Amino acid sequence: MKNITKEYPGVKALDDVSISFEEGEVHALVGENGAGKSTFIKTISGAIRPTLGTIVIGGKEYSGLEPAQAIELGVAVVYQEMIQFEAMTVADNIFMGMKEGLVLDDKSRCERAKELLAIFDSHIDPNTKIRDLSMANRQIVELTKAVVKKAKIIIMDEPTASITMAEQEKLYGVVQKLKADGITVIYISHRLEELFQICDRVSVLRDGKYVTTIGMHETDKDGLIRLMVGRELSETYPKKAPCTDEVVLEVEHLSGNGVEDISFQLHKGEILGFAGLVGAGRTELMEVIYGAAKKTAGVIRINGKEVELHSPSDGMANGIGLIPEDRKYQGCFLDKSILWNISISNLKNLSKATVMDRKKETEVAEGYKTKLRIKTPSLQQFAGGLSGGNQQKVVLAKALAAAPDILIFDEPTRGIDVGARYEIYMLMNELAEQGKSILMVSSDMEELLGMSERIVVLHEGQKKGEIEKEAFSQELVLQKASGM
Amino acid sequence: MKKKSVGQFVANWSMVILLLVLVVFFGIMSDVFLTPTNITNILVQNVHVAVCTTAVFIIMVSGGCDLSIGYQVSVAAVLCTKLLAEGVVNVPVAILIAIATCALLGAFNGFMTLKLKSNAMIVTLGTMAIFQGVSYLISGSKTFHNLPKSLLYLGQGKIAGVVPVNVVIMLVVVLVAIFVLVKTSIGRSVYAAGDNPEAARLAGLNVGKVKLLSFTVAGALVGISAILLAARSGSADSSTGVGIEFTGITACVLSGVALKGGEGTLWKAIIAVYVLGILANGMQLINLGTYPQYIAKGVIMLFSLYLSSKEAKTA
Amino acid sequence: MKKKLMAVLLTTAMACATLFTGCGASDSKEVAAPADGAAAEEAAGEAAEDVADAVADAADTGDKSVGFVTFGLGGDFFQMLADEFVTVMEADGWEASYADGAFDPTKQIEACENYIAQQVDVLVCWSVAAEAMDGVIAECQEKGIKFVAFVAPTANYDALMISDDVTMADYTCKLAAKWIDSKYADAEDHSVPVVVLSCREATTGVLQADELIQIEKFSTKAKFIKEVELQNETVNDGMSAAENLFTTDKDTKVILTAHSNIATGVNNYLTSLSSPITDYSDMGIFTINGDTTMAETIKQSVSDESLIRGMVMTGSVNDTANEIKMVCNGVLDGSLEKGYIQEAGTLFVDADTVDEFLENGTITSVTNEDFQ
Repeated sequence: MKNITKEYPGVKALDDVSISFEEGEVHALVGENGAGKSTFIKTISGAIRPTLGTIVIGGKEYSGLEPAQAIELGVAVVYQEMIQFEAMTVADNIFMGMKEGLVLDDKSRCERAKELLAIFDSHIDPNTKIRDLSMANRQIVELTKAVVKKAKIIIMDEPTASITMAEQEKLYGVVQKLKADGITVIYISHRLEELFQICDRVSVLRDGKYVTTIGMHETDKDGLIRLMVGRELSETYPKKAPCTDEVVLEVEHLSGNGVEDISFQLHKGEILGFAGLVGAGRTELMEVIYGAAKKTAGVIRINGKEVELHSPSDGMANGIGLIPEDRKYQGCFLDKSILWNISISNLKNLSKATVMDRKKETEVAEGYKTKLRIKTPSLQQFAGGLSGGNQQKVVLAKALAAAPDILIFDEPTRGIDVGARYEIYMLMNELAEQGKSILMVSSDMEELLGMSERIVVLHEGQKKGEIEKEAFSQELVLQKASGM
Repeated sequence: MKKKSVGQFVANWSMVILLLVLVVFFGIMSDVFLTPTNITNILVQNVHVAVCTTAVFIIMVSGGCDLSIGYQVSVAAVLCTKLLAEGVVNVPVAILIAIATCALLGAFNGFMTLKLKSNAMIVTLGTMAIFQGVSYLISGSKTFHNLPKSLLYLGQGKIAGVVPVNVVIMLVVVLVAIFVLVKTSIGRSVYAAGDNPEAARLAGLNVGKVKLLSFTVAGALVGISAILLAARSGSADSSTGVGIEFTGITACVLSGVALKGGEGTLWKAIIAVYVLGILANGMQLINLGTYPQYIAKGVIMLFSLYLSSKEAKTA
Repeated sequence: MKKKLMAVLLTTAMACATLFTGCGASDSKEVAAPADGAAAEEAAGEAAEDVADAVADAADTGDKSVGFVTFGLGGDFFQMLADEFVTVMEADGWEASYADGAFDPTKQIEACENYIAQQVDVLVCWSVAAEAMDGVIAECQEKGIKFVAFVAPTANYDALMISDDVTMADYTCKLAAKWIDSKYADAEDHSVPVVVLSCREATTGVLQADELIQIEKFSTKAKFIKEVELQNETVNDGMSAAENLFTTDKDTKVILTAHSNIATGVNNYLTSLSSPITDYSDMGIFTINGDTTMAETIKQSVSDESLIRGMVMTGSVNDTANEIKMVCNGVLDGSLEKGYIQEAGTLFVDADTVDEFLENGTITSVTNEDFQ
């Protein structure tokens, strides 16, 4: 039905890629960061125009699309970094860009929105503002938007990156439903396991070039990784040396910021995982520990000494570093250079009497660039222009520049592809082996089980259990996470 | 939970609360404050500000900013009064010319902002200087008066001897603007363009067109404001209306319009205009000196910010 | 297509605006650049060359040149004075031009520096902030340029042309007293309510307001009620202030203000359709330094169609320009010694003199002596 060809001879973000998608199939699109997946889908959605090549939809050939035109043709995209109207309501977001009458009837729009959301078994109030929704609910709003536009082709960019396991199952159901309705779903994900569960075929991109398209059943995970990286990856989760018994962080009966009565210990060189559903209070707990939110009760001890943390700078002063969940808004200054980003949390040591020491700054940044293997032509590159994995490394460098002993990784590999993930895991292990201790919040079950040495499970702001490595199992974590 | 809703209530109604507080305060302090005459005075004195604030509001919500509004008023006012004083055109034509001129100036602002791909504040800082020059060239530093009675009626007349004409015009303009912004798809796309231009583009909206439209419509409103002001004053020169944009921006910001765009409620902004208006009127009635007036104004502004921060605090 | 149409429209509009600018500049002589015809032609070229030209011109022909840094150019009084200055000086064989002071000390210093670079013989400056001009004056003295302080006395000057702020307010009180005491000749002493509208944003405003509120000293019938302080001296502020005033003090008969815009605003309100007053015969507004439009309004007051009964002016534009000419010649040929002070004439525009003023642009029948 469709035959899409695009070339970017100048930029080579995409180099002569042709893929055809069939009606009613779930077609996975995989590749490492920078492989050109995002560029590819942007040309289909009309967000950018290809320099060369054509897009064929329903037998008609286009040299490039405008967003409005793409919508007209039935193309809808659920972007990974959801681009939404934060200050507007759910209903407004769903219907924006639709051909509606001049005068809007809010009541009937609200009813319509409710009906549409019900398709996904969602009970979000259509009058809620988007910024008050969780990531998962935002995703559902985006999908609803695609449905209301009667999309024939729905592109999902990392739909499961930011939602919990239970919600993932729901999403898979939605995808099957869409497929049954004859809608083509182009599914992009770094979670290769889920592709085998829901996709029919998979196309692989590498370095902007098309590699192959094969049936999902013709390959397995390792085979797919081989295709993506063009080499063998020995293991998904690297091994690390066991931690010591020395307790660096002790939290006792900690409450505040939506969490209640949490106690745990963190050992030197340990990676301690935190599992739970969205809204379980994992990130909130980390904020209290980092000093970004107030505690109402309980004690935090660092190296046996009781500390009072009133602000992130207190947290940093006590050797805690945070690699936050939302890279785009909390972790990185996207419109600033890598150098600037790395220096920002360590201004004191990089300046003399408040005047920045350019040489030292560059030295330090270069050091991290090498150490963390940040792939960039120059330190002057804007962080916003980097791939997700490299951005995460910049955030990590920024945190490390303040020389912390305890690192909090909140969703360390969200939206990061397989190859880069492995590197992040390696880095985490290296850091732990160097004696740093890590708290890792993750919604990725495999990552939790693969990386952690112990897992603390939270449910609705309370601790529901602590699982030792020997007892690790997906079922047990899920059970505790859902409060059973 | 209850605390949260109280905070939200206060934040939502902060402008109205402030208005009531001021009314009660000045009502106690001055015998004449609550007389019908004085209430009419307050309404009438701020009509042109309210209309201009509507223009500022539309531009701000669409994600823009316009510092040149004061001189747009100035250009329209001197052009319209000059043509009338010289007897070149009749009143309806003069009014249409004033509105069309401002719409054109607004469109020029929008067009330059899009063309130069620059921040609207900086662009309009430039066009402000252009409009200033144009205004002085038209007026030749002269004051125009002796305007036709029919024009004066728009700014000074009273329907049935009670209801001021200009207040009615202002209410119509504001109500139409509220309707368009809240109830129509056009209004929705203006909010969308300000909230997240990229999302708006991907939703198939022509963001450039929406912004250009916002600037143009706002310009037309500025033209109406210029006529109301000239008709009220009975005269106009190149200093007419200058600085009005700051009152407008102040009112918008006080009422919670986001500086980045996409957020705001027009009726609250209009209430904010009258909060500022009542403050000025009341302070004169209780005969407060200039310097204490400044302090009072600043305190009121900070107080209103405090009220609207309730939401953020308790949420 | 639509886009193109839009572009064409806007371009046309802007072209018109530019054209306007062009016309304006050639019509009136408001270019700040050296004003010799030929030099002005070349003004489009490099500025340096320009200055060199001007200097060369001055040296070659032995022309006397003078620059006038104005207070600002808003309002027709300032503009007329500047234009008149150029006309009068050129008629006397001077090479004359003026620069917009823009009500801004920094702009004024820049304008002075430009004139110094052009090597004018005399520099006349009506400074916004007299204390900021010290550096410029020192530079003038170094280069042998005569500095004439106009209205605002600087720390140092070759000549000073002054009209004292307080004296102006003083005369306003006297002019108002004359009207009050004849209009209300039969009224009880100190029974006619007088209100002062002030704007205490600048020194002049403060000094004059302090004088105006003493109206009872000048008039036996006047009774000072209160002073209303305004934040801006605009027509609109004057209007709102009057509106508010007449809700509290309905019986106000006379309003004094040092600011002509405020006076205009008060008059506009009281003569508007929504005015609480219909009979203007027993009321009056008095002010300082209005323009021709205000003189016309004063003329209307004779038949009680308006309320502005009188204003006090710093000489006529022509008188002032001639005084500047006299002083400039004096300081240049040495006939006036350094530090000479020229007191400006005062014009009293009221029912008796307004016709003379509108006809001749000046008044000779009534002078300072009549109000001593």
